[in-house]
Amino acid sequence: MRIHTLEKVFLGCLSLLVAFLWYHQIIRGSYFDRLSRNNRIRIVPLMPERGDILDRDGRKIATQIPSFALVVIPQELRNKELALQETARLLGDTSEDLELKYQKDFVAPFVPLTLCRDIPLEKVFIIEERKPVLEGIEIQISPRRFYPFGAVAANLIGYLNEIDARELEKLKPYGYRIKSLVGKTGIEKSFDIYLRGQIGGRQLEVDNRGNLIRILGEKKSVPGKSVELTINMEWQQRAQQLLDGRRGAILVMDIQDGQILVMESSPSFDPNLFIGGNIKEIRAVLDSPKAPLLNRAIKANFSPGSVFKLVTAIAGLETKLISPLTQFSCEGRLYSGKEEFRCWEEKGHGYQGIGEAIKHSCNVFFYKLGLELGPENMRYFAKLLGLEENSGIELKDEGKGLVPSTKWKHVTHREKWFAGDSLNLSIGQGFILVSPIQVLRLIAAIGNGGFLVKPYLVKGIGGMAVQEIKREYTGISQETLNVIRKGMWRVVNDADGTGNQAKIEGLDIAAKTATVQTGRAATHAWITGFLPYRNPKLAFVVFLEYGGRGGVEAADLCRLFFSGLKEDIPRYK
Amino acid sequence: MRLRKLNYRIILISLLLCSVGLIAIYSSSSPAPRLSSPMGWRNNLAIKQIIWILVSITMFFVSFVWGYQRFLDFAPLFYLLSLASLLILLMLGPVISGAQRWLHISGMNFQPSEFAKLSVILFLSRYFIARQDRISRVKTLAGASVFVGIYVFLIFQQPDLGSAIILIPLFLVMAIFCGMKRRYIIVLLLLGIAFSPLFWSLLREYQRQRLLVFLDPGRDPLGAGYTIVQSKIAIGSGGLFGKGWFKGSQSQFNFLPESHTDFIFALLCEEWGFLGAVLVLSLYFFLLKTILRTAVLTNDRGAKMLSIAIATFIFSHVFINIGMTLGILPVVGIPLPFISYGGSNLMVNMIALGIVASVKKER
Repeated sequence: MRIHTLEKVFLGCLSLLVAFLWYHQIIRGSYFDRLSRNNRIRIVPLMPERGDILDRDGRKIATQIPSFALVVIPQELRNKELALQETARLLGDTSEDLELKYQKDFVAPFVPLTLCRDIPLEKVFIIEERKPVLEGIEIQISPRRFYPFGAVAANLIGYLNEIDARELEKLKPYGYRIKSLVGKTGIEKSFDIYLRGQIGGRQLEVDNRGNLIRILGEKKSVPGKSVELTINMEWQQRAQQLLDGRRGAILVMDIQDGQILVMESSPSFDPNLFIGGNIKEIRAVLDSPKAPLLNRAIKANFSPGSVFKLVTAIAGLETKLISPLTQFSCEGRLYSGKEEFRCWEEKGHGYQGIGEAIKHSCNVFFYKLGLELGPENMRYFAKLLGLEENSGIELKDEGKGLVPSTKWKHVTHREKWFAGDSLNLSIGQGFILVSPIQVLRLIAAIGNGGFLVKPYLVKGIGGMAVQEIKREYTGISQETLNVIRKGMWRVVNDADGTGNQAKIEGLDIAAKTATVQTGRAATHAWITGFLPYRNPKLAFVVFLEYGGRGGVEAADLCRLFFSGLKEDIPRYK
Repeated sequence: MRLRKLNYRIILISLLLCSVGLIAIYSSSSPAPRLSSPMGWRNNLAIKQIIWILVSITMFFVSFVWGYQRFLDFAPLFYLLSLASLLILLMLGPVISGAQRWLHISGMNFQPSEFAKLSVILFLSRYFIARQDRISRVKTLAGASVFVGIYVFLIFQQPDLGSAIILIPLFLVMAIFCGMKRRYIIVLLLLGIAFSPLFWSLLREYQRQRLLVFLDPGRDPLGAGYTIVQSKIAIGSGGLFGKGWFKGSQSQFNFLPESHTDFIFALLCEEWGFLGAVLVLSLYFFLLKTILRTAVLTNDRGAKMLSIAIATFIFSHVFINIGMTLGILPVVGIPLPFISYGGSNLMVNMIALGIVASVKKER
């Protein structure tokens, strides 16, 4: 072998190295360059403060309060075991638990990780005193959602919880990330995008162990905007006390422009529970048979019963099938084929006009009218008055309900429409389903001269008025409405009116009651109306699910609710 | 006359390589602007390396003056001395990252295996030259294998895989140049392959991991594969022109381990780019070419053999080290001659170059 050959071997091998360098540095250079950047740049999010939710008078319904959390900054820990032991002793926890939590939540040495949230103030002082021993452990003050009114209006306000996988997928483009707290129901959900603010971030340069070297850039977080509601929390509170855990809802709305003053669904829950509450209590709420998380005010699962007689009456008058003077006789029952349909008054009401029939809530009168009208006429006016459509309120999960038609019955039940179906519909029984808020719109339209208003809860965001008032004229004539309103006034104010128990001296209430057969022993109870009779200002619905009779339990509740507000109501506006 | 010219070239190129090393070591040891970090050791490594370079230059001239013939004459003594130092090391050397390679003598750390490598070169050269007439006897080959085998075994015990592996190409090249029959060499290689399971069982766990990771780089990116992944990122991200002195994020922020010793080439690639790397490789090639030129020009068999062996010795280090940082050879822990931080390797290399330079005197 010659020396020259060896030299060639050397040259060949070194050229091979050059070829590899070419491949790595030139051909794949940009790929490795990206990898090297990713190696050293970290982004740490800066969480914005969530906006307040205020009532119409500026009372805080949901706000942020300081909460003391015990955090560890891993890169500043001198002696992890000792620090964790000491902390465990002070918190009354076991060091194994803390160790476990530490392992689980560790992200990087410079990212503080939370060991314990919501530490009571006295413990905060003790920990602060022990600080020289507890190097790397800090008390961090961080904002925490707090609902000062607890369960009052909770169904309306909603609650926060960690974002789930499905929501994350949908909301990722809007800057949501894993573990973000997000509104799950109510206003917290509908207005989450305004309330949450904009997340900020710090761009950090780190070394191989993740230790912070310098801050490259910072984008400050933008705090969330406050959301101002039309709700009156005092009234709301009163509604909650009176409902007292019974299943039901109380709604009050400005009859002209649709602002909701009260929307209390019962039973309720404490939304504070979902912020760091214990799992057992949360489970208890979620699994309760009374379904406290259900906002009954917007769920269209209920038959309107006699409230629907107002729609039947309007349909009759508007189609000119009857005039205000037309009379039907009631013998206490009506036969359709072989089937007997009863009036609630067994003796019957005798001959009566429409006003009387409303006052007495006579079934037979409306049976007869309903038969004449037929389902399509009744459905037309029901839809005209906002049934089977969303009210447009700013809450998700609103129910549309159902107003049956011959076609609908044919499709879903494979049956033709019987006369009995018309009889049932005419008094709001049978297939029809409505929500309390739909009833509220309907009653408001009667009270305000035929305008279907869009109810709303939010009047401002971040101090800016946001709501344009939307109302549409239904085309129902004033004569018709006057007849209906007069009948409703007599319901409350005549001694033999079904809603007489709701009468309050000084508040000129007009209303309609309903006691709905549910197929169970218990009946739903409704009373809905407006006040004052002349120049109406407020529309209201009081609803009790399986809660008794409209003229008794609901009317009582209505009286108790408004009698306490006697001084407030004239001051409203 | 021509040889003297070559000697200037040898000293010039080796000093250039040392300077490249200083630049890289300085960059590697400069602490990144960390928020809390002891600033005391800044520049320390570079200053230490300057001292090593000065010492090594002195050693170059000492060996130059002493002459290659005396090195050959004393080869058996050097061999025994280095065996003894390896034994002492095994008995009382301190353990640094799982290996006993250093010996502390009055504040200086010596790595006897580096010196042992040189003594093996000297010893083998002498052995082969003395037996050139009976080179193709089995006895000669067996004897050489035993002498090298003892050395390999001791170094393996440290364990210093790299220094042991370096001897394979060295032994082969020397045997070939002595005119050993091809088939002996082939038999020897086959024997080596046959005994590789035994070899595997002698390896420590971390060495096995490194070899496995070499076969499958994605095996353990945060453990055994970490270094090689980071090294590749460092090299690749350098691009054509590099990120500039002190600008290599991989090495400045310690993502790249051993960036001043075994993986210093990755740092060079990151900060000086493809062009810098090719420049360094060219310097090595010119150095090798110069040494081989000496071998061509001399008539003395011993000098020829020594020059070829020393060129192979330096080349093997360069190739294995760079191959390792590029991820095309397993990580075995071999320094990059003249550039990596550390005194022992530098001194041995400079002594070796001194031996080559001394060749003209004996003509």
